[in-house]
Amino acid sequence: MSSGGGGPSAHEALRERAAHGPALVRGVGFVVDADGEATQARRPVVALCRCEASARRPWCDGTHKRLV
Amino acid sequence: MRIPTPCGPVSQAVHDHLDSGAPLPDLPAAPEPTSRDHALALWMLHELAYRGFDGVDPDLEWSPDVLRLRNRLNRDLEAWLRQAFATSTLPRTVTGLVDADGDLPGVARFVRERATADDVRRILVQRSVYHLKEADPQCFVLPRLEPAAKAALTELQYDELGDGDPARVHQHLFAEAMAAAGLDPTYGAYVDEADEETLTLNNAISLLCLHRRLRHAAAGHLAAFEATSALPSADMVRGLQRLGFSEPVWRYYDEHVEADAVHEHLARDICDLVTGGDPELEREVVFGAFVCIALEERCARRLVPEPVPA
Ligand code: FES
Repeated sequence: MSSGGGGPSAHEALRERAAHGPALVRGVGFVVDADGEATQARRPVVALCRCEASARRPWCDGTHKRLV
Repeated sequence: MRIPTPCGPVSQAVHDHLDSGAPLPDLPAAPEPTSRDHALALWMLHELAYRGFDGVDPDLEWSPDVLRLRNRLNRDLEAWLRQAFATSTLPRTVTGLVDADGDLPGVARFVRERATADDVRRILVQRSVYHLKEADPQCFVLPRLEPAAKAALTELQYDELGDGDPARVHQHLFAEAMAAAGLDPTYGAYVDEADEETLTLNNAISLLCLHRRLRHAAAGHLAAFEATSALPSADMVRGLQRLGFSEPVWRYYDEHVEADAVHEHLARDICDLVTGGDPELEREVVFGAFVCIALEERCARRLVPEPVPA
C-alpha cells in the first residue's frame, strides 16, 4: 500500500477511497462543504463522493471508477 | 397506443388476433428469436401486460392462445440468450461484465465525439421504446422478493419513479427530451421504427421481469444496467450540449449521472440479497447482467456507424 517508509501518499489514499466508491447516505437534507456552501439533496438516498474527483461534488458522478 | 404494423407472418397473426379476434395460427415451425417478425410479435404480446393497445380487449392478456404463443416465443428467446451466455467470452462476474462494457465502443461515446443531430434523433427513437417505460418491468419483480431485497428494490424504483414528484419520473423526463428534440413523445410512438435489436433488448427485459423463475437474472440485469449508466450519461450530456440540443433534451441524461451513481450500489445490494450467496443463484444474476451488456452492445453495433478511416 505505502509508497515508501512514510505511509501512503495522498494520491494513494484517494485511490484507495475511489476503490470503495461513494458513501450512500439516507435522509440527507443539505450537504454543507468546508466553505459553508450548502447543496440541497433531492433524493432520499444520496451517494456522497469520497474520492474528491466528482464533477458534481458533493455527489458521486461515477468518476471514481476511472481512478482505480 | 395503436397496434404496431406487422412485418412478417407471426407479427401479422398477432396483429390480426388483437385487432379482430382472428384465430392465432399454429406455432411457428422453427425458432427465429432474432427475426424482426418474431421479436415484434413477442413485443406486442408482452405489451398486453403493460399499457395494452387502443381498442384491444384487455382480457387478451390472459387468453390461453396468447399465452401459448408468448410462452413459445419467450422460450425461443431464452434458449438463444442461454446459448449466447454459454459460449460467450465475456467475463463471468457482474463486475467483470460492467468493466468490459466500459471498453466497448458504445452509443454514448459516439454521441459525445462524432454523432450528428440526425444520428442523435435516430438513437433517441430507438431508445424511446425502453426509456418511455423505464422501471416499469422491474415493478413486476417486487412481489417476488423477500423483505430485505424488496425494500432495496423499492428504494431504487422510488427514485426511478420520481421520488413522489411526477415531474421527475424518468419516463416523463425522457418524454420531455423527445419533444424538445422535435420527436413524438407518445408512449410507443416509434415501435414501427424499432430495429430488431431494440425489440429484442426490450423483450429480454420483459422476459426476465415477468417470470418469477427469472427474478435473480432480472436483478443481475438491473445491476449491470445501472452500473453502466452514470459515466455514459455524462458523455451523452456532453455530446448533446456539443450539438446545441436544449436543456430538456440533456436533462434526462444529466439526472442519470447522479441517480445511477446511487442506483448502481442499490442494485448490487439487491443482487446480494436475492442470492444470499447461493452459487447457483449467483450464476443467474451473472446471466442477467450478461443479457444486459450483450444486448446493449448489439444495439450499439447497429446504431453506431464505423468511423471513417482517417
Ligand atoms: S466517489 Fe468520487 S466520483 Fe464516485
